[in-house]
Amino acid sequence: MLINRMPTWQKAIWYVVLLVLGIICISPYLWMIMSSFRPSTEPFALGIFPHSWTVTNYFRVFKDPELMSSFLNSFKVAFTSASLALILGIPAGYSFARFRFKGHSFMMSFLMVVPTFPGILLAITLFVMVVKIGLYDTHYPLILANTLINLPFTIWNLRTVFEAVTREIEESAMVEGCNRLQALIKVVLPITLPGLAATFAFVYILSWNEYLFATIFISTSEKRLITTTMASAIGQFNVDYAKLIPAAILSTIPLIFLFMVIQRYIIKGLAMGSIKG
Amino acid sequence: MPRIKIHAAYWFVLPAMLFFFLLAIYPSGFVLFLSLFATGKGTAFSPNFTNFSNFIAVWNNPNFLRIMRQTLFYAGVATAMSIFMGFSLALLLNVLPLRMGFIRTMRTIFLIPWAITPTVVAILFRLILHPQVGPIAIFLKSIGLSVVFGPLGQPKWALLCVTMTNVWMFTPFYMLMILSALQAVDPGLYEAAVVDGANGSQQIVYITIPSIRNTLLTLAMFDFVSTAAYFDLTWIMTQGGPINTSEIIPTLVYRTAFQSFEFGKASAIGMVLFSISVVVSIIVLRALDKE
Repeated sequence: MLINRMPTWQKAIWYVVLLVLGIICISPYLWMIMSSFRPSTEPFALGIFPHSWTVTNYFRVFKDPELMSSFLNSFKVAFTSASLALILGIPAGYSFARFRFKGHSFMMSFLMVVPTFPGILLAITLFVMVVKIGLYDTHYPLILANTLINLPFTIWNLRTVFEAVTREIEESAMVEGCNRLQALIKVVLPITLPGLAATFAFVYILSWNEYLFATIFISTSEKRLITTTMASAIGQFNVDYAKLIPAAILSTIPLIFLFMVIQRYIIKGLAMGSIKG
Repeated sequence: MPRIKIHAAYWFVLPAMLFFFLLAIYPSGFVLFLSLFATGKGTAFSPNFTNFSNFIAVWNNPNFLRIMRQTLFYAGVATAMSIFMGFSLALLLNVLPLRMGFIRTMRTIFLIPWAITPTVVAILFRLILHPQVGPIAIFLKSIGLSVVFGPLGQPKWALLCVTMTNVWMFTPFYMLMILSALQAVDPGLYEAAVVDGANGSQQIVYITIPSIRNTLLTLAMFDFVSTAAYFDLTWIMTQGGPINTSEIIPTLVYRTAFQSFEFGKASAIGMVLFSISVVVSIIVLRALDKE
């Protein structure tokens, strides 16, 4: 639909409409941010803004050893999963971007089918396997599961990242005496760094957010991730809201900003599955 | 030279494919094995064919049909609303002749719900809908209404609340995908339509929707299949309660597998869900226009 001209008063109305829609859309989260600054004596008072602002709730989170170890565990798992996804995804994405080979389109469509397999079914079989191997209550199966569910996206997205690079760059490196792998590592990877970093960051975010596998594979509370720690906190009889809310804010705010920075690098990879059908 | 290229291509994809084989293909075969051969509790199975007893047990469960209906309601309503609202927002962001910087900022703001950890979304809406500490309940009390507002604890409303939370969280993703499809529509089509005297809504019906029909269908299919299998939100918000009124197949599978430790039965329930997903996917993929 083409709208080239619109009277100024109509434009003004649309500015206001969009702004109001935007505020309504994020108001639940804004409420949560506001609540995190309320004094813990009265965490849920009436009114949009706190009557008096305080950051003591946040200090209580920093002093809580269980929450802090959960944050650290989440970081370890998400960072390792994202690294592993990139290590496996870079060569595969590069191969799909550069070569036409037998099985190329079959493997690409296989990658689109993988995410439709229900996570809960994967959880059952991985659980049985993990218990038999003896890896239950460790972070290893969690890392492998996160890598597995995010690898299809990693490969799609890296494929589009590598397709944006002209072939001549590696070809001239190969004339200079590099082999394919050396050309990829020395020439292609440095110039695709923004795309690689964004892909890494997105897998990091998704692994940080993961809940199902984290609740199934881990039983000891010191090994829990932040998602499972918070989910079990809300399920208890006496919920310490004044600590839970700032913890929830701390675990989401950095990722929201990270996401805003990387979003334009991941749209193509996300759209591959839906737009190409 | 071409022979070497073929070799390189396979070597490069080999690690990822090996990984998929070990952790995706083998386990999905294993889950079929479990559903057919595993009975009883625990992870020690003696493989003997049980004449589909796990599937028969699923069918004979008096609650199963109700839970299936709830799953279809949850996934169907969430899909319809997410796609409709995602399309509307994308259309607004795409056609309004406002300043680019403003449009871009609004797009980012609309994306925020999708960027929040699902666990936190579940906690957030549990708090907002809470009968004592929730802001809505507190507001209703302050204006003197003596009603108890706690929809997550009410059989009539719990499932709908989880569904709406799902819509809030995932609409941004569909908006983003539909927006990038809208931007790929050839502007010449609209120009031709304007010359023929088409008004705005005619352009949406006759140009915009047909142009992105494949994207909309694929997204709807993906939304339905992934929502029907989505565990996190329901589990953290209601655990399927009260009295199973918001129970969906994934939470039933979880309960059967990880609370009763009946892995064979749980696999059978999950296989029913997966089969429905496959059938829906095939129907939608058939309906796509092939260019």
